[in-house]
Amino acid sequence: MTPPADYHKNDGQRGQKSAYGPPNGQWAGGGGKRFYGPVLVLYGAAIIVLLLGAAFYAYSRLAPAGSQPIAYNHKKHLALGLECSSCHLGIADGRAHARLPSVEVCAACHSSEDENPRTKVIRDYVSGNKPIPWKKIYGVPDHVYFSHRRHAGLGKLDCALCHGDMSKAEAPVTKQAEKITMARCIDCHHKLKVTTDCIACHR
Amino acid sequence: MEKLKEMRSSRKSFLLAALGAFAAVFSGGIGRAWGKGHGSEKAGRHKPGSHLWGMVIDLDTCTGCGACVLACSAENNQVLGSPAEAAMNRVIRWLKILPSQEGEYPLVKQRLLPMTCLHCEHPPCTKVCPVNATYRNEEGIVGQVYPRCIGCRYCLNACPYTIKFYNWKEPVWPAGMEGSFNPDVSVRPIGVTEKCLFCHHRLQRAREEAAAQGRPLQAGDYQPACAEVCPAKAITFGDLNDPDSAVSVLARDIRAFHLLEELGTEPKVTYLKERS
Repeated sequence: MTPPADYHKNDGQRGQKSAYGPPNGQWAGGGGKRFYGPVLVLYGAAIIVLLLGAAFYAYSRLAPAGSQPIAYNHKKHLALGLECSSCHLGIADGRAHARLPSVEVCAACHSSEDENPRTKVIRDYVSGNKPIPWKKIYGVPDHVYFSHRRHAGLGKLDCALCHGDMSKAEAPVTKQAEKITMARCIDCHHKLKVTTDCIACHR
Repeated sequence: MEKLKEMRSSRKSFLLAALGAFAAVFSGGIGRAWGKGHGSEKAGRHKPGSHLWGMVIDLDTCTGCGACVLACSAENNQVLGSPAEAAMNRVIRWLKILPSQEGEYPLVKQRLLPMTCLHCEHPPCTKVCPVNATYRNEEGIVGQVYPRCIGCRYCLNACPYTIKFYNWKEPVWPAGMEGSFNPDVSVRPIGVTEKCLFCHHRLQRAREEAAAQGRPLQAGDYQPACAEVCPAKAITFGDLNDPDSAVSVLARDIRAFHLLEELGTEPKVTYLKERS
């Protein structure tokens, strides 16, 4: 294949007359003499749209649309004397995963005798024996091994350390109180002088 | 004069005592060096009470049944691979049985050598990793951090035992098999290197269990899948820092040898040669 006739036209003339920049070696911001102004505006608009899209995507990941199926009030339940582990069963069971409460857990208190109109939503789930479609807010990636048993059970760490003070939370959880990042894990591991071996958490 | 005598005798006794102490320390040192054998000379690198995990594979009792290979691949979510790939030796098995023939007909001998990552004390693979994805941890396990691995494959080339594997393809399983994965082990994506980690996730579980029972980790709490499943009990696993553990005792056996010992990698997997 032979190159087109004008292939070498600009050779040795970069800077003065190059395909890679404006012909006069000056960007359009200053004068806007040529057609670069509108192009830059378009680019700017595109970038803003992209950024907004990314922000929306990140937001939608953190707080799923429609938030939780039930307007669960942590403050009220904790004030009644319930513990975190009363409903998040995995902690007491000594499992790695804390788990979201199943409908049976709610059914233990919200029986048919309860006639409070505000708890009708949960009673419907209970009477229909339907699983509650909780949205999972906290989680670690697949390649991370995190054990609630090790941290909350054996390590006796306060749940609020990662999940915020739920005794004050009236609204249902729709976003992470503390962003769960590796830097956060390592920070705490350094402070408490526990292992920082990579394969202790990465699996 | 009395005093001088006294001094002299005390000096003599002091010298004798010093000599005795020196002899005791020296002979003790030698005794330790001879007695403890493999792995123990590295004990200085470890905090007291820490572990140095190691394995002994007795080739005399090993029947080459392949249960360890199966247990290893099931435990660690290894791809099944197709018969065509297997024929080209392209199936990833962290533990494989190396066959070799010895002698000429009719005096032929088939040898089978189960081989895993040897978890070298001086691993050549960790020294070439540009991103610290593979490293030797405090307990002697050569770790591989999959999300950190960039897939350069330097470590594959550096490993003299060719016992690290690269995922050339996205792993595929037959439909419905996803439910049978081991949840403690991740599924490695395309483009990363993987290897035997001595079933490190089992150590995590054992630690957690021991802590729940409020006791230190004991011998036998932590066994990799291959050692647990071996029907001939040819694989012994344990702590090389403990001179009385079964694995330390066997590693000092007269039949003990290591693969490519001359390279100085000091593998922590010791083989016991067949009794003739």
